[in-house]
Amino acid sequence: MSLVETLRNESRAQLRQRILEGYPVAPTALEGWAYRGTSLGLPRFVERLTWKTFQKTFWREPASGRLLGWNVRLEQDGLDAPSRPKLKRGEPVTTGHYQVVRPEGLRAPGGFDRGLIIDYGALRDPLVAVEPGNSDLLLGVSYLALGPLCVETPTYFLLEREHPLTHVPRGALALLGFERRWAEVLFAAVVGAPLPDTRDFWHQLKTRTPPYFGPGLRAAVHLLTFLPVTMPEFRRPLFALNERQRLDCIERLNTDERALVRQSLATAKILACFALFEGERP
Amino acid sequence: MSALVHTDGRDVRRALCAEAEVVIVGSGPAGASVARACALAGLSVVVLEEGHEAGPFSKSGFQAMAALYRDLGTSVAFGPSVMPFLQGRAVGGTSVINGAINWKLPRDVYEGWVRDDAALADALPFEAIARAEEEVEQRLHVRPTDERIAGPKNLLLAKGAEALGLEHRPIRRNVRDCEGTGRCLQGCPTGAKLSVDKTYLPDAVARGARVFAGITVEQVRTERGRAVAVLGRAAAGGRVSVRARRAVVLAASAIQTPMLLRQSGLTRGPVGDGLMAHPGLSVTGLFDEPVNNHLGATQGHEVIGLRREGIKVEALGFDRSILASRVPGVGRQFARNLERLDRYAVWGAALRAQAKGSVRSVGGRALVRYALTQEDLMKARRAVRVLVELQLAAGAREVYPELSGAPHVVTGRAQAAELEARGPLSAGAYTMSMTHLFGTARLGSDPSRSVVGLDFQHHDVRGLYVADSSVFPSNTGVNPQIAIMALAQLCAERVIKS
Repeated sequence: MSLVETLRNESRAQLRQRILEGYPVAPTALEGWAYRGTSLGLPRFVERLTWKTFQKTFWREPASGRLLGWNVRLEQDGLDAPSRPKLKRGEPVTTGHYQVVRPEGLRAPGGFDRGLIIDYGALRDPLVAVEPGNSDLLLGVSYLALGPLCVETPTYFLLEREHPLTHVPRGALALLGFERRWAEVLFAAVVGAPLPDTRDFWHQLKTRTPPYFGPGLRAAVHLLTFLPVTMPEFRRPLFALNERQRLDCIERLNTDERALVRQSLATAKILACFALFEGERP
Repeated sequence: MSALVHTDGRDVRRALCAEAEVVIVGSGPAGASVARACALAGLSVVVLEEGHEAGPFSKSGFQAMAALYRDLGTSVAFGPSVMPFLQGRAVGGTSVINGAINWKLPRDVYEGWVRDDAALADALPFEAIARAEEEVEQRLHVRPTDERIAGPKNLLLAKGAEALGLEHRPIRRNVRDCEGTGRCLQGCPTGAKLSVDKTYLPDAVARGARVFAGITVEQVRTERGRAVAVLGRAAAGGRVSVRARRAVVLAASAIQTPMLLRQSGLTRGPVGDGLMAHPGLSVTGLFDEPVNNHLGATQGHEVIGLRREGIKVEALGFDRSILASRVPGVGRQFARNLERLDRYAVWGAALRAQAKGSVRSVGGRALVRYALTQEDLMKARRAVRVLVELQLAAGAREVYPELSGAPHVVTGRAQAAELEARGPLSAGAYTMSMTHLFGTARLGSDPSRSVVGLDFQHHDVRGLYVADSSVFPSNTGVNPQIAIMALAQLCAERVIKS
C-alpha cells in the first residue's frame, strides 16, 4: 500500500500523531504550486455536505512578499480522478483565501508548530511534511484560535503536489466585489461627492497593506453599511438608501460617540479622501 | 543597475550569494551611516534594503505611501487604542519620507541614560556623540528653515507662539535649495532634501559599497557564537545569502531589528521589549486668510518651550488628500468645508511618552503592542490645549481638537483651558499616531537589561552589531535622525576597530 493510501485509511488519532511527529516544510518549496487536497478523518455525512477533494495553492505576492493561497473547488469526480476545477464565468471558483506563515508567536495546540501554518484568521491549519525533506506530500489539520483558546477540530487533510500554479484570482485577501461597491457608496457619502475612478486605489490597498488591514476595513464597511438598519428613520442598509438619505445617515453617524463607530468612520474618511483626490493625480 | 543600487531584488529569481567584510541590514539613516564610515575606512560593505530605489515621486500622497511607506502607512500598534506608526520602506529608509527635522541629542536626555547606566558615561561620552552629530550636520547641510520658503502655516505658528510667549524657532532641516514644495513626506520632487540616499549612501557607494535593494532579510546565521551571514529573499523570489567576514550590522529600525533577532533565535534579554515612542496628535484650525497647508516647507517651524515637559509642537504639512481627511464633518458639511481647504492649518505635538510597548514576530510579521500611561494621557490633554491656544493666538477663527467627548469646535481660550481641565483621560478618545521608535534592542552594560553591550555588539553573539534607534535607552523627546546617525557612526567606529 502506498503512503498516500495508508494515510487515507488512518484513524484520526494516527493522523494527529503524524502531525505531532511531522517534519518542517520550507515555504519556498510550496511557492507557485497547486496541491491536490483530500479531506481525511471526517464523518461521511460531513464529507457529503462539503467536499472530499479540493486544491490548495501557494502564491508569493510580488508587492508584499507574502506567501498567500486559496482553495479551489473541484468537481467531485472521485478520489483518483483528475482535478477538474468548478468554474464560474470561466474562472475557477476559489474560497477561503489565506496567508502561509511560520508558527513562531502564533497560539497553537501543543506540538502543532512543527511546520507552517495556513492562517485564515480564527481558523488555522498547521501543515507538516510526512517524510523528512519531502514537500510533495503534506499533512494538515485545522484548529480554531478563539482569543486565548485553541480548539482542535477533527478536520485533517492530505496535500499532494499537483502542478504549477496556472491561475491567480483577482482580489486575493481584498474586499469582495460587492463589499467594494458598499465601500464606495460609504466613501461617497462620507465626502459628500461622487468618487473618481477607484481601480488603482483598490489595487494599491489590496497589494500593499498588511494582512490585518483587510479584515479591519471589512469590519468597518459592514458596520457602517448595516448600522442604518438599526436606525428607525432609515431601517435599510446604506447602499439601499437614496442619496439624500445616505448623507443624512452618515451625518447622524458622525455624532455617534461609540468608539467603534468613530474609529470606523475615521478610517472610512481617510480612505475616502485618498480615493477622492486620486482623481486629481496628474 | 543604477548608480546607487548594485543589485535589484526584483531581478533576482535564482539564488544569490555574496560576501563582504561588513553586511548591513537596512539603508536608512543608521545603516547608511555605518556603510559610509566602513567604506571610507576601506572595508568592503554590502547594504541590504527591503524597499526599492526611491523616485520619481508622485504628487499623490496615497501613491507616495504605496510606494515608499511600509504597509502603505497602515502599520499599527495594538493597545487600548489602535495607533498607527509610519516607517519608510525604500533605499534611504525613513529619511526619504521624513520631515527633514534635525535635533542634536539633548544633554538632559543623555544624562538620564547615564543615571540609568553609569558605565555609559565612559563608553559613550556626550562629547563623542556631539562630535559625531556635528559631522552629520555638516554633511547633511542642516540649516534653519529659510523664512522665504516657509509658507503661511509655519509663519502662523511662529505668530501664535510669539503671542503666547512660548519659545519657538525655525526648524533646522537637512535641505539645500529647498523651494518649499511641501512634499517632504512624499519624497522630495526636486532633490532638495538631503536624505541619506542623496548623501551617505552615494558616499559609501563611491568607496565601493554595494547596495542590494528589494531584499528581505529573514535570518542572521551564527556559527560558534559569531554572526557569519544573513539569509533572505529577493523580491523576485530568489534566495539570498550574504556572508560577513567581519560583522553583521542590524539597522532595520526599532521594529524590524528585534523581529530579525527573534526570528534568528536570539531571544535572550529584553529583545523587542521596552519600545518607546513619540506619540503625536494634531489639531486643525480654520483661518480667514489662505494658509495653503500643502505648500511651503513641509515642517518649518517648531515650539520648543515645552520640550522639558515632554511636548514639542511642529507645523505639519500634508498633501491635499491627507489634509482633507482633517477637515471637519462628513457628507454635505464636509463637501462645503472642502471648498475652503486652503484655509486650514494643521499643527501637531509630539509627546515624550513614558509608555513602553513590545514587538514580537507573529508568523513573520510584527505584532506591536503599546499603551499610553495615565501620565502620558495627561500630557496629551495638555498638548491639545496648547495646540488649540496656539491656533487661536495665530488668528484661527475655529479650531477642531478632534477629541471624543469634547466640543467639536473651539473658538475661545476658556474652552481651550477646559480641554485640559476636563478632557478625557482614555487613550481611545484621542486620534494619535506614533513616530520615532526606540529601545527594542537597547544598549547597556547589564546583559539582563540590554541586548547589546556598550560597544553596540550583541551580548552573546560576536560580530553582530545593532546600530539603529533600537539601541537607544529611551526616547529623546526630539526628532532623532541626527542622534541616530551619530550613534550609528560610533557603532561603525567599533566595527572598524574590531
